Amino acid sequence: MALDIQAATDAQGRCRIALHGMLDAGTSPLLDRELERVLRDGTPSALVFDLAGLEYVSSAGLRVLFKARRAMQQHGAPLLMLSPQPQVRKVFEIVHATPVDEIFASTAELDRYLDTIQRRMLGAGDED
Amino acid sequence: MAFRSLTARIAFWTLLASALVYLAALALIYFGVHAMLLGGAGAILTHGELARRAELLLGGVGALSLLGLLALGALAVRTGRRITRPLRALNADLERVARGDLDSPLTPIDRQDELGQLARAVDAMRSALKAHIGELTAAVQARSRMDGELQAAREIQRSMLPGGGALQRSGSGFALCARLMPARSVGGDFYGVFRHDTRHLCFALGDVSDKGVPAALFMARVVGHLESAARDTLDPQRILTRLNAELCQRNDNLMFVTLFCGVLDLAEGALAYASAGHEAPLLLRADGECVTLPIAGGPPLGVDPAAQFAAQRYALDAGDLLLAYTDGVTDARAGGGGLFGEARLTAALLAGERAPAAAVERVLASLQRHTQDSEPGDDITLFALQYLAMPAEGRHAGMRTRFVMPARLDMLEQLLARVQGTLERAGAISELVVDARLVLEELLTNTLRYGYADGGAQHHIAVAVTLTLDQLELTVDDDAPPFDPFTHPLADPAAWADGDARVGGLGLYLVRRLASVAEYSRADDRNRTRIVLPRWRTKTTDR
Repeated sequence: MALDIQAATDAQGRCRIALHGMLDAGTSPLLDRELERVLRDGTPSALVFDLAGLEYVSSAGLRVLFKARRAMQQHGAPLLMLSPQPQVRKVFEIVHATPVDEIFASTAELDRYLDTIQRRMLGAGDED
Repeated sequence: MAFRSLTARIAFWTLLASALVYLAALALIYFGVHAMLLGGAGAILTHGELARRAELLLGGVGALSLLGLLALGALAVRTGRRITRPLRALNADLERVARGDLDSPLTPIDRQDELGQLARAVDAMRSALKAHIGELTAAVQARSRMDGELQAAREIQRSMLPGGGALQRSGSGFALCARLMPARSVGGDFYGVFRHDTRHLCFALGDVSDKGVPAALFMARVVGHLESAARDTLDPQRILTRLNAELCQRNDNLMFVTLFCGVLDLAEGALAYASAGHEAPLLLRADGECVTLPIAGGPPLGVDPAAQFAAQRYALDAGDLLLAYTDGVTDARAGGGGLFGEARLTAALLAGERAPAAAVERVLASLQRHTQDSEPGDDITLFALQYLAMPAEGRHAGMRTRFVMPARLDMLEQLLARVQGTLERAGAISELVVDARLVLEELLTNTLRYGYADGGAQHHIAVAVTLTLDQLELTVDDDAPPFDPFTHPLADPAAWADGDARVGGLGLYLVRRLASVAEYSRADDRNRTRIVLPRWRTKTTDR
């Protein structure tokens, strides 16, 4: 089965990448290329992987996600996972791939979190 | 002068004044007549002189009467004032009381008469009112504190129930829906659902005697012990016996609980169950018939430590819907007094599709129509569980298939898809299918990438898949150079979590964490890797 990738950046510079299908040895290079493209256009203020449609992930896919995480960390920007399916979540948990606070069950929950971060950053900026 | 009665006061002054005027008039007339009419000693008065003196006398009497009248008027005014002045003060005080000022004492009226009594009575009323309002305020505060505590207790009690009292869940082989509505803030009904493993579903539903806070406290005890009683056994009889032993201890109030407990084998549809004095659940069978589950019965839990419970079994067919409930459902009263009863419950159950959530909604709607808006007399709990068979083939018998693929990376996807399809058709649950795919992808990617670096066009890899009732065995057989994937110590996942994607071993780490057995052997110049996955995975996080 293939992997479908849809990336979109919103007005706040947050990039959301929705994955559908399987992220394995065969399809992970597609995501790798897409990530390179996104990061080349400038680091987004936040990177969100929408995993609601992702049915499977193997170590090859995990590597790409880890790589994305490191790239975002270097710019001090958050990488967040939205709605992983149980099977995907199980793999994350086995390899301790993602701190629990980086996984969100719903878009509303995620948006609230991102807005909070943004306000905090804006607040910190005002104080400078 | 102190009067004990206003009548006495008025009568006294009026009589006194009248008597004085009367006496004055009498004296005037007497002495007047003597002095004026009779003149001096026996002198004869002329007619003119007599007329002049009579006029003078009449004038004197008239003036005196006038004076008397004036005096009486002044007395009336004074007496009136003596009455109205304190009344006015009292009125002002009462207006202050009416505005809510109960603290300042009334203007004192130091009198013994009715006015004094009235003033003291009003002041006593004010004090009593103040004390009463104080008590009322304290009671209202206590009540609102109690309400707050009950609300908190309600939240705590809800959090003890899976889904907080409104649970909907489905999984491989089942779908269920549970609803609990306490009659008061807190109640004694409860339900529970646990998974020992992916194959068995354990559930319970119960009703503590009594209602309200005592029932809620005992319910917390039952729920607390239920999960530990059910933890390591699939035998409902044993669960009830253990729970009963726990609940009989330190139960001086002789609280008790009726409980139905079942364990459903999702692979075969076998329902094992036992009841401790609880209503027999209804079973809406896939063929459309609605029956009552046969119950051998046993006493409620918490009373007799030596109580015996019978284990019973019932073979469910795919699509069968079990509805367990508490007596708050059947005993719900209409405004007119009629009970909802099992007949209406059965009718509601039969009146639509068998999906658990739809069935529960139907029963609740029918219950609502029956009771209208009358206060619920008891907690209401419904628990609907539908058995959905796993694919029939291979559910019981073992299955063994061998796949051979050219040792080329571009052939991997095809092999994985074939294994996946075979396992799905054999009735493996989706979690196991995905795990198998993950294990094979990790093992084979490793072998294909590093074992056949020169291109493995001439070589073949054999994969054997063996599914039994309890486990899935995967064997990979290849002729690459010797490589034991399991010699290295298990890596520390922290290295990957730090984002260092170059650290290897991620895939083999996954394999070793998923497998219950991971073995390597080398024979006849071939690598043989054997992985065993449990068919039914024990769940620790399923709540």
